[in-house]
Amino acid sequence: MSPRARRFERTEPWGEESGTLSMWGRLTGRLYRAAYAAIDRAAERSAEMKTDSESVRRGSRKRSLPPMILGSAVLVAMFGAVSQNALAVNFTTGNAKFKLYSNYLDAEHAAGYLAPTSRQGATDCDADVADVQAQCGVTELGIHQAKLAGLCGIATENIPLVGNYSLMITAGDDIPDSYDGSSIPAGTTTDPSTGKLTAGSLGSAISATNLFINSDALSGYGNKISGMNLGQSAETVGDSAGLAFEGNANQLPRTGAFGLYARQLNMAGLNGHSYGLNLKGNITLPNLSIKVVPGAKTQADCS
Amino acid sequence: MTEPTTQSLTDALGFSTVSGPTHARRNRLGTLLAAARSWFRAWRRTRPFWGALWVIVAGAWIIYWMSFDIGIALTGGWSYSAGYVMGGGLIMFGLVTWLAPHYKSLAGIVAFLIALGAFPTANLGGFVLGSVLGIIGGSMIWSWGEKKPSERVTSGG
Repeated sequence: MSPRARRFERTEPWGEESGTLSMWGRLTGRLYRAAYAAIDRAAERSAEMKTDSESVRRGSRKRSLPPMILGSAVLVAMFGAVSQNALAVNFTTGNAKFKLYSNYLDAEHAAGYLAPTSRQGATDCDADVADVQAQCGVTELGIHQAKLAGLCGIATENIPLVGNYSLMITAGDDIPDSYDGSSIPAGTTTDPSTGKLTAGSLGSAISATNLFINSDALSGYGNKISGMNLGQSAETVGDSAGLAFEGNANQLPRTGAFGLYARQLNMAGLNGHSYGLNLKGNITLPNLSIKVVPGAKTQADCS
Repeated sequence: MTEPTTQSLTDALGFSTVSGPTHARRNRLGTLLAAARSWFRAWRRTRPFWGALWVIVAGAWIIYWMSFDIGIALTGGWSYSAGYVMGGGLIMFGLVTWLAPHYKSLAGIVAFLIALGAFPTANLGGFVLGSVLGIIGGSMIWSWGEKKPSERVTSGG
């Protein structure tokens, strides 16, 4: 016990010490004793900790290497399995604005409507400025069964002090430097009557079930779209496509709002600004590669 | 300069027996900072500090890339909440390691497994980086313990 605490310690018998007649004196005396005892205990404990820390040298030992190597090997194996279409992963982003490119989108049962973004406090809708309240209007496009010939996603982050860094995710076929917007990119094989992916492109395609894309700009060349219904009441499009949209109350499709449904939606040279790529199902990503590179990157850097 | 290591914490903080020990009271802020630093050093060296730090960073990184409105994460099912579950698990076991270093073996193994599990479930484990940090941190926590004494005592923790 420190002398400071002892100062408030009881010396005279109960009821006879000075100040005992006042309730205030009794209460504060008790509080002071408790407070100084707590300080003393903390000091004692840290003194113990200090002697303990000086007695033996401790740290991460060499036996951390086997689990590290094992873990890295498992990670590499899983990465390989994802690249070879053997392992399906859950891939969901809700944060930054993505630039999204794909040679060809073959979507069976696609449904879309207008909704706010799933996350507040992303990037501002017009300018690329962070804004805590930003919640932008986007198209929520849900696809029951999607096949993509090539995929390239670029997210650019401005890291303080370091500058711009881009995260690039590529999978499937190579992405050319640009799309002309009026034809199918070279090397992509499609069925001439239905517009679905066939042959080589089907083999290396990224396939995803229950894929949802939040985007505020999507452009491309619509190739042999069939069974399209524009202006369908928004709350029914999910049922038409066999999808369940999820989100908070103002993100769900509203009765009578504009909706879109297509039995078969094919888009060549897809180019979009997306806020999120959400999956309820699984995705297989052949030839997956993830890179973090300095600077803001564009489509030309994809391949 | 005073020697904070030879004083008890109460002395270093100015709670002293001697009335007016000038050496302790002359520069109270400096003494306080020195005491805080030596306390933090002792705290750091009595628990797997760095491994837990990497695990916490890994969890925060995974959550950063999968952060949704909390309402959606609660109602939207596994694909929206996976980031919070896996990243939150990593952060939690990092904090457990800091606050209850006795559980280091268990916490290290669980953090290691969560980091591996985050790869297929949470955005490829925060684009691989989160999983790698979690694996390194988990292994460091698990392997933490007494080392051979050496002349240099500056490193460690």
